[in-house]
Amino acid sequence: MKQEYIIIASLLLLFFLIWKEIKRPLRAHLALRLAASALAVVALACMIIPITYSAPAPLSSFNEIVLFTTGSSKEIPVTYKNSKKITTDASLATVAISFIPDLSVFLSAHPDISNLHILGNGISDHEWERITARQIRVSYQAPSLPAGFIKAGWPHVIRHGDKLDIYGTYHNTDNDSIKIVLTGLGTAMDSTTITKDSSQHFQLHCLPAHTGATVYELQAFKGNKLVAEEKVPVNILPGSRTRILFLSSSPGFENKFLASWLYQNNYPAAVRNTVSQGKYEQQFLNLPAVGLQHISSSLLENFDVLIADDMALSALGNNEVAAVRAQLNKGMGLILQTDSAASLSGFSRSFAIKKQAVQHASARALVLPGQGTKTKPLPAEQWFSISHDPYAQPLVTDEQASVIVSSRLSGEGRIILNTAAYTYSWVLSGNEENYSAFWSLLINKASRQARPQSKWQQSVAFPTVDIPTGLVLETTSEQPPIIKTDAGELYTTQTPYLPDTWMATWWPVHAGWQTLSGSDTVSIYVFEKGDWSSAKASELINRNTVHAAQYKSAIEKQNEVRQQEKRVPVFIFYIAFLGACTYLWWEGKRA
Amino acid sequence: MPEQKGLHIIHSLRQNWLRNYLLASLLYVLAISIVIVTAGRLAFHWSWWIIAPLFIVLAILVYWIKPFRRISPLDISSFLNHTYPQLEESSQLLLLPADSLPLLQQLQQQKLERSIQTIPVPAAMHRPLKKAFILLGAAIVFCLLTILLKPLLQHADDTKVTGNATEAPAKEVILAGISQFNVQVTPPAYTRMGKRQQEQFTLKVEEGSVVVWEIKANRKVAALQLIFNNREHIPLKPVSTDSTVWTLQRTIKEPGFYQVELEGNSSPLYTLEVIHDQPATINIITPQQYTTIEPGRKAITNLQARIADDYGIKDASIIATKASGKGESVSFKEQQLNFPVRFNEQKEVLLTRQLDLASMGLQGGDELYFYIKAVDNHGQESRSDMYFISLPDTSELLSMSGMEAGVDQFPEYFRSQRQIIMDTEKLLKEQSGISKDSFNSRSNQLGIDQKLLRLRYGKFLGEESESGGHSPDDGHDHGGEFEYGDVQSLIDQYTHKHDNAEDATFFEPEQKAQLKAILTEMWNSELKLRTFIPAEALPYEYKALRLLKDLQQKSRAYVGKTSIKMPPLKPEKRLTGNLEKITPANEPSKNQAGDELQANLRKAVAVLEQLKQRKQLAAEDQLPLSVAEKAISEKAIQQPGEFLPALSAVRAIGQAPAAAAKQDIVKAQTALQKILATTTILPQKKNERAGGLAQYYFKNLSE
Repeated sequence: MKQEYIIIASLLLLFFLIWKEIKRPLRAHLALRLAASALAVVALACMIIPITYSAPAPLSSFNEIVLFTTGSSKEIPVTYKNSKKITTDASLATVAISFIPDLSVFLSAHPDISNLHILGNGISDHEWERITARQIRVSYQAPSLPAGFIKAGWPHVIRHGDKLDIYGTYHNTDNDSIKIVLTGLGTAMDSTTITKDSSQHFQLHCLPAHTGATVYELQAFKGNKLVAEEKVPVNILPGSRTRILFLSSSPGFENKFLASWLYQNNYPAAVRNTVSQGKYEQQFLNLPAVGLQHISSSLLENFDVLIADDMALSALGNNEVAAVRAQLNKGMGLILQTDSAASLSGFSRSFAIKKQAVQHASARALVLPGQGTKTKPLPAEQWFSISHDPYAQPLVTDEQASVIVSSRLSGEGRIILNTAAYTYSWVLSGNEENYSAFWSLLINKASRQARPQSKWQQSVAFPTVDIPTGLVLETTSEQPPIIKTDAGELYTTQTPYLPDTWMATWWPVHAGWQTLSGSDTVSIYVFEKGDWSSAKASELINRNTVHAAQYKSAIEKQNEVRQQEKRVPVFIFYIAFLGACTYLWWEGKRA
Repeated sequence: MPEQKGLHIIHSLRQNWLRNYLLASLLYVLAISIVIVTAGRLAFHWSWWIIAPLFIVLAILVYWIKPFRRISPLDISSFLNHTYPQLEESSQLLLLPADSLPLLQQLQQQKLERSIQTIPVPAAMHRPLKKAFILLGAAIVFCLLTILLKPLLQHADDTKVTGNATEAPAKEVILAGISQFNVQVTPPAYTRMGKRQQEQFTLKVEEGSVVVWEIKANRKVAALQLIFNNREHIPLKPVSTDSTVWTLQRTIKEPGFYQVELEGNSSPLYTLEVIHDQPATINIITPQQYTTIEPGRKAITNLQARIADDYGIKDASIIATKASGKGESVSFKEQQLNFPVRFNEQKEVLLTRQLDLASMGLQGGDELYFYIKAVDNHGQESRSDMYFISLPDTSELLSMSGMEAGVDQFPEYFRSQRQIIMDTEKLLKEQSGISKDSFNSRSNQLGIDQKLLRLRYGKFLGEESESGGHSPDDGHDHGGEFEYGDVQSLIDQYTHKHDNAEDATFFEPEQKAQLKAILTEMWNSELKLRTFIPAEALPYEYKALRLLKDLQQKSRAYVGKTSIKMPPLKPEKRLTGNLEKITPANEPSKNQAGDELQANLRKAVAVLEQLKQRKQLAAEDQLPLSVAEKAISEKAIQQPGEFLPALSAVRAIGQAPAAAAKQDIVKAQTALQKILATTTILPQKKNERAGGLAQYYFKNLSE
């Protein structure tokens, strides 16, 4: 019924009643009677016409939900008291928080949800995609960082003779300092301490003496109690042997000690010492004999590093020099030993060598900046330094920061100039460690690179059972490679702009070392669900924070109140109407 | 009779009192002894039976000391008087016989007879007993508390020890058939250690000790044997007729491990460690290893040494060799000197002896080499380092040989030092003949000479002269005549020329240090000369001369003359530069044999790691595992304590690889890690990007 008609009708009724009252002969309580009639009419009208007022709307509207994910506490923050609370983690389900098996299914079953608050570690990437596709406004509140190993990294494959470096971050929330120990094969290898109430980086080293796929352990101790323990799987392959050719203009101790060190460690080496004009003394260690009289490109093809001194190179003929240059272009390395400031051969002319003024034999410690190690002092009669060169990389400096060894690129290979000519005195004093570190650095830099058949990478830091891991395979093969796993075969897709790179997604079924084979075989360690939980949690928190910031979905402030229209209850008007009618009737009866 | 009644009462009271006191004392003593024995048990682990003798001793002591024996009836009666007013202070009357008393006392006595029977038993009689009971109760409670709390206290002590208890032996696993056994160890007689007995198979014994095993089986067995190091099987001999008790005696000389075998069942491996007898350690405290006694000092050295051994030192002596002569005519004479101490197998001894070199016949230019030799009571000899004492030769010092040829840097100074020495010796020879005043003045004069010499040397080091710093007259002379306009001569008068060739010295730091040492000796000799003790100045003068000579000869290089016979030269071939006939040496190629053992051990580590995940052993993995087992067993024979658990672990894995426990695998890996040779960092080849894309890119980049 139109409200206007009712108002007109009630007004008419009102006038009629007032006229009737005035017209009544008995004029007692006229004012009261008029008021009562007016009240009756108004109440009747109000009963029919809905009177509304605006009031703040209650917050328990179904459009907003709060999602508790793993890593949040069961306490409900005050602001979300009235919203619907759900969780995907069964351990967080309580009377107030209901458990849902899957967020995407829930969202598609309730299309009217407009606001989502996420507490805890967060949700996965594909769930974020669903949410943003549906234009739901999301807010994410990151919890505090979990205690334990929140970051860790190490090389998954090393060779026997390489150092294993493990680095990471430990978040210590205890009021006590924590000791982190790297344990392998039942023996503690290295340890460090993390101060209390801090998040600190750590770096641990060890030198494995065995080969094979091994699982090391990172253990965190508080006093004597084990607080956290994580697995570090490493695959240690047998060492690769670089082949080395020595050309020297005179027999000397330096080459002798270096050749014998390589021989004892089963490295193939060939030595050619100049004894007199055109007369050479040849020595073959772990190699079958070849003719070293004439240096040709095909001879150098069989070697990875050429260690020669300046005078020997200057005594080479033109074709021999051309052969060396050709091989340098193809990737071979040249280590030039020099003991004077003058450069005799064309190879050393690109470096500017200065002789340092020392009055007598002094011993200086060398610094290997790349490895951060400082060696024991090396005694020498004279010291040289290499001037600054923007195209050369300094490899070894001495304690006064003069460059002793420096390296330049030449074609695909490198030329390394070494001015320390007395390193054999380390061997004589029994310092095997510094000697091997120095020469491993130089030979590693110089050596021709190995061309593996294929190279494997994993896209996830900790491959876990039942969680997809992306695999990237670099290989040259005509056909698309097929990766065989113990649970079946994986088919790869090629990346459009890198034709030798193939990608596949692998869902590991079993935990432990798994062997995958494409064109060659690789062992990848798959973790259990509970391994590296702190690291996975902190990574998830980071990702969710990034997602939340990217989509800029801040929900409106909770303080902003929405207004709602509410109807005054009819009961009041009914009572008023009844009261007024009763008074009129009684008044009438009384009179 | 009534009179007797009162006396009887008093006597009986006295008896009761004495009895109560005695009981109370005994209870006190019991309480005290309980407390003492409990404390002793806690601290010194006494047994409970010590209570009995302790009780007796303390009881006698207390009985003797405490005066309750001496309570007499008079004391009782005075106590009664004191306590009960109705006795009217006169109960002592009851003690006297009625006939001896006058009438008044008799009347009183009779009155007392009546009243004494009404008195109650005094409460004070029981008080000591009550106190004693309370104390005994407290002592018993204390004793019970300590017994109950003792395990807790000990547990708290144990938990304070963190980490593994390396000394507490793990519980041994014994074969089921053995009911009882004991092992008796008798160390060798010379160690003077007594026999000991243990109820454990794990042995740690001295070398050469006799071990007797006595094993009792719980039923009759046919054979029982011990297997040593997996190689020797030694059967035990039965003792009793019913073949349940078996015994074996063996002298243990080397370490290893052994197990008991009973009718085919073997026990786990038990370690057998041997404590070797170390030879004696000798530590020479004085003199230093190289000493030089300057001429002028007395040729006497004090030798002090400390010798220590684990079981006893039997003998120690000095072996001294005297070397005299020079060049090809050096002669050696060896002699043995003893210490003035009797050795009767002490474990540590401090020895001193004075070596009088002059009495041994040493003169200037001779040297004495000695070392100490010690023998311990097991017959092992040990010797110390060689120690050298040399007496420099004065004649060589004073000679001028080798000085005439070559450039003399400081000839006159050198002669001056020689001159001072000769003058000092002459002065000493004439000391008895001349007067004290002239002796002193000559000594002073020598001191002045020495001082001048020192100053001349000191100039090279920039030391102050007597007048402090450069004297204004140094380096230039005031000629007095100068011309106007001649600026140079004017300047010359007042400058010190530092680049004058004669005065300029360019000493290296070591030379400067040596010069400083020479100056120190000259200071000392000047001091002695100026204080009129030229005899003591002599050693310093000789030392200064010796250092001077050293400094001068340092820059010389001596090349020995050789005399070899060369084949005659052929002039037509000489200097032609013909190298055709010369072929350098060509060694055949050498191949370093790969270390099979190390490679197999490394592979074994990898195999064990695989076993952690995969519970089966492939056929080709059996070989590395057996090589590893052999290597660990070799090590276990030498160091059984460390490697024996790993050996049992590897054996267990080898027998049942499918059921290998993780701790066994870890134990085996730890042992292999200890055996594997450590590596150093070795050069490796880097892996570049697989696939030809990088090559293609690089080629096109360089074009």
